[in-house]
Amino acid sequence: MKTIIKGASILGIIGALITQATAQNQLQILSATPTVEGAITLTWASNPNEIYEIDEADVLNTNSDGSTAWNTLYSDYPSQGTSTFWLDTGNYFVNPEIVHPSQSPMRFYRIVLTGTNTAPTVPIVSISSPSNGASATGDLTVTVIAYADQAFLTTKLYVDGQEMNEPDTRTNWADGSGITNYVQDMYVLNTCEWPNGTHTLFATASCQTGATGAHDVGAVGISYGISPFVPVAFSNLITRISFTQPFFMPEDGQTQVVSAIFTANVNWTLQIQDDTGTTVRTATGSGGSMVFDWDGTGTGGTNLPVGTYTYLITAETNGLALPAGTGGDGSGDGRPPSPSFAFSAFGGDSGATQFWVESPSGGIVPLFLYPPGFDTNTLTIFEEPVSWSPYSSMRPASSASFAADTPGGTSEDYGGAPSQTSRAPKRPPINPVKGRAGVYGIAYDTYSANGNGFTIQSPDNGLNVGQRIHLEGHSGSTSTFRYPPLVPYKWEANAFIAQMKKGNWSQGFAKVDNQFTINDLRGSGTMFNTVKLGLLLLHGTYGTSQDFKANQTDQIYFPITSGHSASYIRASEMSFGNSATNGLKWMGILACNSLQHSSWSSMQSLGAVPYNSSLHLILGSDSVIWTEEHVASYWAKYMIVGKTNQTLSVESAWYAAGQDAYAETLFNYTNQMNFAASGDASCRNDTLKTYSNPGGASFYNSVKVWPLP
Amino acid sequence: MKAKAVFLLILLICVTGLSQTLSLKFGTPFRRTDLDVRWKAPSNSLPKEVWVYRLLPRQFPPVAMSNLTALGPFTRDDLVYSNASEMLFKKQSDELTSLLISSRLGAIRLQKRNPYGPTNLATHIPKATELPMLTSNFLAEIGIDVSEVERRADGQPDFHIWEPSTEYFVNHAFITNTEFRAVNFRRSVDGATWVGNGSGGNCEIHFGEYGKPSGIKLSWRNLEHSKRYPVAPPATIVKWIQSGRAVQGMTRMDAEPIDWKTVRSLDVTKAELSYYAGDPFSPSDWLMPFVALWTSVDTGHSTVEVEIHCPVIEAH
Repeated sequence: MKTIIKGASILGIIGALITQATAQNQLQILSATPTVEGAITLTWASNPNEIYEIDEADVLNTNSDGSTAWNTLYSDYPSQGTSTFWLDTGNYFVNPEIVHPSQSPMRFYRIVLTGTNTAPTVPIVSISSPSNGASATGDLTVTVIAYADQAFLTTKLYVDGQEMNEPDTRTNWADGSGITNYVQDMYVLNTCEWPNGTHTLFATASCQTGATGAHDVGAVGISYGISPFVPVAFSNLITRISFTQPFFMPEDGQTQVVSAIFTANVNWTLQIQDDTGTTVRTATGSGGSMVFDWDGTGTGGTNLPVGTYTYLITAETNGLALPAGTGGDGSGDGRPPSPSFAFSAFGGDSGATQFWVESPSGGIVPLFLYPPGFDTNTLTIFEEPVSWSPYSSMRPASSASFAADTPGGTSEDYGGAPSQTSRAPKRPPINPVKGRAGVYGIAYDTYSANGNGFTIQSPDNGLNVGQRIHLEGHSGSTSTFRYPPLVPYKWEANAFIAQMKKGNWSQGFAKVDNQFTINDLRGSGTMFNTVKLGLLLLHGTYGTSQDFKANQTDQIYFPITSGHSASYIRASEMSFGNSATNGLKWMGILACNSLQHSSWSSMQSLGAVPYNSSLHLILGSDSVIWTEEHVASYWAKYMIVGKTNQTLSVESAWYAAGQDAYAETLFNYTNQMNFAASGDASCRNDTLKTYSNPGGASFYNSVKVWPLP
Repeated sequence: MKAKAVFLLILLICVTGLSQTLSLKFGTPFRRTDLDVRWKAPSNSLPKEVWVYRLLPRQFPPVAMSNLTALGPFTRDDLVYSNASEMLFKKQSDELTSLLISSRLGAIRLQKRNPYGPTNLATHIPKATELPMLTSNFLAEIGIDVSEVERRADGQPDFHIWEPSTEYFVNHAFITNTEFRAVNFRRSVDGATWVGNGSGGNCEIHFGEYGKPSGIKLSWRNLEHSKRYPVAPPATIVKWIQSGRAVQGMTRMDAEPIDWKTVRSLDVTKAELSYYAGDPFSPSDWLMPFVALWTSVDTGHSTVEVEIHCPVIEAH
C-alpha cells in the first residue's frame, strides 16, 4: 500500500506505484492488524526522512469519474526508517468526523508520500522517562526531550502509534537569535486506559527553518525527527477504561457508556465528578468488568450543567474467581505489529480477494487495502466493486483465527496491589465533556497547491481603466505579491479545534483550502454566520489607495485560493454577524493586517466594514503577523477556562493568546506584532458565557503582542 | 551528529536534576579549540565574585494585601479560594474583575472589567511623567524596593512607559479614549539584568483613573544567597568558548550564517553579567549568573555581530 502524490488520478497512481514497487521492492504494506480494542495498526515499508499522510475512504469509486474521495485520517507523519507503523483510532477533529475503526463498517486505506524533510537538520528527540523496559501502573508521566538548531521545535508523543494529547507541561529554551533549540515536554498518561502488557512509546519532533506568515518571504523548510522506541509494560488492576462517545452530547440523544476490564474479580465503584471534584453520580458493582450507561443526569435524574466531567473508578479485589470470558487482558508486545491478516477468496463476480480481521474482543473489523492488485508480502490487495453491498453482506472467513479472551480465573497480567483508583479519560480522542456550550466554525487556507505559493496582481480599483490598488504603499504596478504556503495553519487549526472541543464546543464546520470558496465568505450568507464563534486563517494585505468598488475606502484584502489560482476578496464583501441566538457573535481573522489601523479607520468612516450590526467583536491584527501553532488554541483556552484561574473576555483572551504564543517561541521575529479588536463597543467585556447585545457604537483597539518589554 | 548526541546527554542531565549548575540552554552550542578569540572588552566589565541565588516565595505585607483588595474592590465574599501560598478573588457579579495573589510565585495579577464606552470615557488618567512616582509608591506599598529595578545609564529606574488608545466611531466621528497609562520594567540583581519574563523579575502596571492601578502583572520572588563563586577571568572565559561551553546567541536575521569551522576570529567587545531563572512556563527555583558577550565574528566573508552566552562561574 503505497503512495502517492495527491491530486493525480487514481489510475495513474496505481500504475506508478506498481512500477515503482516492482523495481525497488519498497512501498509495501507489511501488515495491518487490529488491536484488542478494534483499532487498526498499519505498517508499511518506508524510507528515512519521508513524510506520510494516511487517507481513508468508506467507499471506493465515489466520484463521478470513478475515482475515490479520500479523507485525511492523519498527516505529517514522519518515517520510522525502513518500516513505519501508525494506529488508526479515527479522526474526530475533522467534519464530518472519521470514527474509530471499530465503529466503522468498512474502511479503505492508502498511504500518501507527501514529501521529505526539508529543513537542513533533523531534530533529535528521545524519551528520557520512563526507561526502556520499565513497568507502569496508573498515571505515567512521560518526559520527551528534543534538540534542534532550527526554530519552532515541538514534540508529539505516540503510544502504539496513536498520538496523545498535547503535553501537560512544556518547557522551551532558546538562544538569543530567537531560535528554539531545546524542549522538554511532559505528558501524563493514564495507563489504565490501555490493556495490560507491553506498549511501544515513541516521540516525534518537528522544526522549521524560519517563520511563515508574511508575503514575499522565502520558503520555510520543515523536518521531523523520531525517537527510539521505548517499550513499557502497563500493569493495572483496572484496564481498558473506554467510552463510547468522544464528546458526549445528551441533547443529541447520546449516552456515554463507560466500561472497564479488571484483571481480577473486584468490587468496583464509579464516581462521575464535575470540574470541582464533586461527585454527581455513583454506580457500584462487582465482577471482572464494568459497564455503565450514563445519560448525563445526576443522582436522582437531576439536570447537570454543560461542563467537564471525569470518571473516577475504584476497584478492590474480592477474592472471587473471574467470571468466564472477562478480564485478563494482555495484548501488547511492545513491537511494531506483524502481519496477521485473516483472508479468504471471495466468491463474488470479481474473483478478488477480500480480507477481514477480527478483533480479539469479538467484532469483525473489515479491512480493505488499496490499490488493488498490489502484492504485499504474498497477500494480494483487492478492490471492492462498487456494486458490492456493504458490511451486512460480509462474513468472517472460515480460515480466520481469533484470539480468545482469557478464561475465568485470576489474570496472569497483573500482580500488583489488590485495589486501585483511576481517573479517566486522558487518552485521546475522548474528552471529558458533557453537553454543548456552543458551535464554532473554522476555515483556513494553507496556500500549498502551487509549491512555493501564489502570486497575484493587486485588485482593480474599480474605475475599470486598468488601474490597480496600491498595496502597503507600493504602486499598483508593483503590488503583485507572492503568498507563500502557510503549512503551520494546519497545526494551528488542529490545536484550536482540540481546545474548543475540550471546552464543550461543537464543530459546525472545519474547512481547508479547496473545501471553501471565496463565495463562502461573501455576504450575510457566509457559512460563518451559522455558528456562534468563527475563526479564519489567511494571508492578508491592505490597500493604500482608494477602492472604488468599496465606497472609495482604503480596503483590506485577503487572497483566497481555488485550485492553482487565487484571487482577492475585499474585507467589505464580507458581512459577519447574525442576530440569532446561536448566530455569529465573535469572529477572529488571523492574517497579516486583517484589522490594519489606517485602512480600518477608512472603512469604518465610509461604512465599508466586513461586519454587520449583529456582530459583537471582530478580532485580527494591525501588523504583519507570523504563524504560531498556539495562537488560536490559547485564544480558545483563555476564553474557555481563563488564565491563572482568572476569566478573560473574548477580546482580552485574543491579546493574551498572541502575547503568550509568540513569547513561547522565543523566536526573533523581524517586526513588531500588534493584535487588534473592533466591533461593538458594548461588547468589549463579552465572555463566551455572558455577553451584551450590540449597542450601535463601534470601537477599534490595538495592542502590541510582540515583543513585550 | 555525535556532538549533538553528547549535547543531548548534557541537556538530559541539566533538565533532570542538576539545576544548581549553570546550564545555558538558550543558545546554539559551538566548539573550536583553535578559535582565535580576542578579548577587547574592558577588563573591569565583570565583578570578581558573583552570587548564585535561590528563589523563594514572597509574602506581601498585610497593608498591601488590604490595598490590593480595595482596588476591586473585593470583599470576603469574593474570595474564591485561599491557601498557604495563593488567594484568588473574583467578584461574584463580574467574573472579569479578579485578583490573584501568589506568594509561591511572588505574583500579583489584577484585572478589571473595561468600564468605558463612547459616552463614558476615561478621565483623570495620570500623565506619563507621573508614572515613575506612582510606580515607586506602588512598589514601596507592596514591599519592593525600587532600587531592585533595572537602571538606565543615568541611574534612574528603567521604566518603559506606554499607553493604549481605543477609538470609538460614533455618528461618523472618531472619539479617542486612553483607558490607562502603563509601565513595564525588569529587575536587576547585583547590577545585572534579569533575563526572561514571568520567572520572578519583571512587572507591568496599568494606572487608570486618578492613578489607581487597573491592571497588574507582577512576578517578583524573594532571593536568598546560596553560594558565592569567583568569576572566571577573561582568559578562562575564552577557553570555555573554545572548548564548547558557550552558546551562540543573537544575530541579525539577514546576517550571514556563521560556520565556526571557517571563522577567522572572534572579537569580544563587551561583557555583561546577566541572570536567568527559566521562563514563565517553567520558572526555576535557582537564579543563575552568566555572561552575555557582544562579539564580532570575522567569517572570512563578512563581519557578523553576535551575542554569545557563556558560563561565568565554575559551579560544583
